[in-house]
Amino acid sequence: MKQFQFVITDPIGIHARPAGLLVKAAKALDSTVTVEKVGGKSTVATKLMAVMGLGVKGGDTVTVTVEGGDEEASLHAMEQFFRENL
Amino acid sequence: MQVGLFDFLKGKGPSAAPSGDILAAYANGTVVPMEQIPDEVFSQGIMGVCCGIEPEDGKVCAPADGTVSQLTDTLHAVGLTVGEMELLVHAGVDTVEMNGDGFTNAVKEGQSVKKGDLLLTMDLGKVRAAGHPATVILAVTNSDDFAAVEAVASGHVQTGDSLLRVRKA
Repeated sequence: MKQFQFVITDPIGIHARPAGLLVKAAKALDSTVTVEKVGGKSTVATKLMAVMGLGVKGGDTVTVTVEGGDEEASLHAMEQFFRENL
Repeated sequence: MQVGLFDFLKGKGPSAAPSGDILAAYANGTVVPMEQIPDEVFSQGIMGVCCGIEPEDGKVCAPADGTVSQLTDTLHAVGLTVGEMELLVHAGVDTVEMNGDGFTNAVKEGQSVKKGDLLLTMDLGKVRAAGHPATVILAVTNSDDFAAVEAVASGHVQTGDSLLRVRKA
């Protein structure tokens, strides 16, 4: 298991568009990806409505965890995704 | 798609339910096939299999009996749970940028709704003035869990007309 924390810079947070892109990116990995809003809820990153339901806003911190498969590659892919999209 | 197949092989969910659940038109207007929705996250199926309606008025209604699973602060989208389906009703394209201006929610989170109940109203004039397509989109966000989601209507529809058929695997 590997994880990183990320502070959301998109002012609207994880709304429909980035949530959809995150689900797509997470489904492409061979690791299980979990997103947790620090101080809030947690969900697997492959369920769109659950990801949107985290209610992550700009300025919130999320913890992203990858488990199983090629964790190094998955962690790198998720770090890149969050930097580019959120 | 492999994920959906595996879910089926695991025998997820009861099989006694009807083989095709119908989702009804959720607005009055013209059906926009998924591929023609002017937003690639929808047209490419990234949000799940979806369908659009180019609305004639600003009333967006429930496509089936279900429960409101979530609302957004920006008021332009409603999440619904209908049986095993997770649905996203998204009013307009890129309307998240309007930050709620022009949108009014008619339901609360956790509320039960019946097919045809008003979910939200959108001010079509404001949406167009802001430069956004007003296309109202219904996405089956967990469509991978189903065998097929197919349109059963085209052209003009009225709220309540059969629009999508969702088949279990």
